[in-house]
Formats: sequence, C-alpha cells, structure tokens
Amino acid sequence: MSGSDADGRLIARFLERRDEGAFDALYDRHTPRVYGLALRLAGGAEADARDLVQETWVRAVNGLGRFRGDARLSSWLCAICTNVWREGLRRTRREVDLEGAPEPVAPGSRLGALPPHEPVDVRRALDGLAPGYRAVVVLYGVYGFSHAEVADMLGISEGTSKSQLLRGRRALLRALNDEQGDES
Amino acid sequence: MTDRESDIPGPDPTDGLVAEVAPPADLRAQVVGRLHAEGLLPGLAGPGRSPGAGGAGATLARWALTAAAVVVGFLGGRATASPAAVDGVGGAPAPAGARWALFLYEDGPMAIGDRSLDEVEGEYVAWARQAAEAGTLVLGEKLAEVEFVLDSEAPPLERPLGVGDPPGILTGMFVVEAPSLEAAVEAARSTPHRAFGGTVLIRPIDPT
Repeated sequence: MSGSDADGRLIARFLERRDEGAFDALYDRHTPRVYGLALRLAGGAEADARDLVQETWVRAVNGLGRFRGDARLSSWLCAICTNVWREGLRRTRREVDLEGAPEPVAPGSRLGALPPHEPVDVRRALDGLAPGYRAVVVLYGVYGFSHAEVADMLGISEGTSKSQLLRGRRALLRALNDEQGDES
Repeated sequence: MTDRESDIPGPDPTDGLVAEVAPPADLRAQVVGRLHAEGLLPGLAGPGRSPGAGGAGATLARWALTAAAVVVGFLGGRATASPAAVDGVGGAPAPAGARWALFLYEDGPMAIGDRSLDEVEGEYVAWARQAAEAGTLVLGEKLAEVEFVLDSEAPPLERPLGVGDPPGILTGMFVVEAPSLEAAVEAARSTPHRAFGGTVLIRPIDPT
C-alpha cells in the first residue's frame, strides 16, 4: 500500500468518526516533516516552530474534508505550515520594526532543536537569512518543491521564486564564506 | 523539463540538511489538546481556550484569517483620493466632502476579548453598512496578499506580505483602474512620486 493510500484510509477513518487513533497515525507520519519545515522557517526558534505545527494541524483537520488527494498530504501540510508562517510574519513584523534590530541571538543558541549531524555553519547561516530568501531556499532546496509549488505557497511568481533562490543561495554562500573567514 | 531542472547555477549549500526532524515528545499532547479545545476531536472540552493556544494573546491566532477575509467594501463605490482632499490637515477646517483614507493595520494579537470570529467579522460588516448608509464610506476593499515594490526603472519586486522592509513612511495613496499588473505599474511609474525618487508599493485589490 502506498503512502498516499495509507493517508487516504486514515483520513477516511478520521472523517467518519473523528477517530483520535487515526489522527495519531497521521500525526506520526507527517509531523516530523512539518516540524522540520517549521523549524527552518522559524529560523530555528523551537517555540515558534511548535506554534506553527499546532496551527497547521488545526487548520488541516478543519479542512481534511476538502483534501482531494491530488497532492500528497505532506505537501498539503507543508503548504499550510508555510501559509501560517507567512501570516505570523505579517503580524510580528511591526513589533520587530518598532524594536529596531531583531532580538540578538547567541550563535548556536537555537541549534539544539535540529539534527546534530547537520553542518552547524550552514544551519546558522540559513537561520540568518532574510525570511523571504530562507523560505525559498528551504522549500526548494531542502523540501524539494518545484518553483511552481514554491510560488504558489508564497504567493509569488515562479520567476520571483527562481530569483529569490539565486539571491538566497548567494547570500548563504556569502555568509558561509564570512564565517569561515572569521574562524581563520 | 521540470522546473527543478531549471538553470539554477552553482552548488546548493543546503545539501546535507534533512527535511524531517523529530518533534518534541510533548508537542503531540499540545496539538491534540488544541484540537479538542477547538471541537475538532471529540471527548474533551468544546470550543474554547487551550493552554498555550488560541485566545487573543496567541501569536498565530485564528483571528488573522478572519480579519484578512473581511470585505468591508461590498457597499462602496469607487473613488480616488484627489490632491484637494488633503485640505483640512494641520488645523484648518476640512471642506465638505473631503476624503480620508483609513489604513487598517494589525500590530499583533487583536484585543477581541471573548468575541467569536463571526462576531468580529460581523462588527466590520456592520460598521461598513452603517458608514455606507450614512454616506461616509466611499471605498472599502480587501487587499490581495502580495505586494510589488517599484523603486527603480527595473521591473517591480514581487514579494509576499511580511517579507522585506517597508519602503519608507506611508504618505499617500491612489487607487487606479488598470487591466493588468503591467498597466498598473505603468500608472505607478507615471506618478510624480516616482519622478521625485519615492517608492510606490502596488497592492492588488482582491476582486472578491
């Protein structure tokens, strides 16, 4: 049975009788991916990532009856997560502006939530990217979404997705080079 | 050719980063608790508040969805603020018929108290209806969630809301009718504001 079939059966079971066991199974299957994305989008901030995951599941469960299955459930959840993140960004932006610079984060202080075998310098550089760049770099590079999908998730054109990816990668490489320069 | 094969040159520095990360063990209980509280899972409390989620203080309150979806312009006509409309600023009396633009911002969680989302939406609609009946409301529209920043001769930078810095201090607005984004950009380019070096932020009006 494919993953999509399994998801379809679990969704049907859940919708039929609001079966918490079915939800648990869906949660187990998909939350690692959604949580990973949430952490990347949130720049490694675990509390924000938890909020994103929570809100993602609430909206997903609300809309499960409308899920058509023409996309993978994991992709659908990632799209919801990205949308929630965008809304949160809108809402917190002004606070950040009023405060001036974002709250300083000690190097490496947010790195504990992500897999320890990942290159720390890349994670740190990624967390330091502007949110718009980070989103495209993560969705395309780490999660394998196409530019059409990234564009749809972020409400931008495919061309913008491509240019943001280029700029984001350049900024990431620049940050990595700077970091290596500082260490030498 | 799929667009993953498109011409993005150079190495991908994110190689080696994984997509799946084990969530904290207590996150499941938090999510399930919220679903119960929202009435999406049976067996516990009905709609209401759950610890750490929802409520007026939540960072990602569902209010945002409703606020974004509210369309206050269903009764409104269309008009463009004219330069004369700014008379009355600075203490001088405003002439009869002067127009004023009201820009709605959200600075964070909204103080909606115990109101339901339907009640919140209803308050916007009631306000719009009352203002239209009183002849006060000229134009009310929901803006689409994308913006185009025109600050040079280059094509405008398209970006989702909340990404990037605001292009300065808000000092004015025009509403133009244009058959396409390109036409709207042309109209924006033709404003004196661009000639004077200002930035024009273009926001599509949601047709809904």
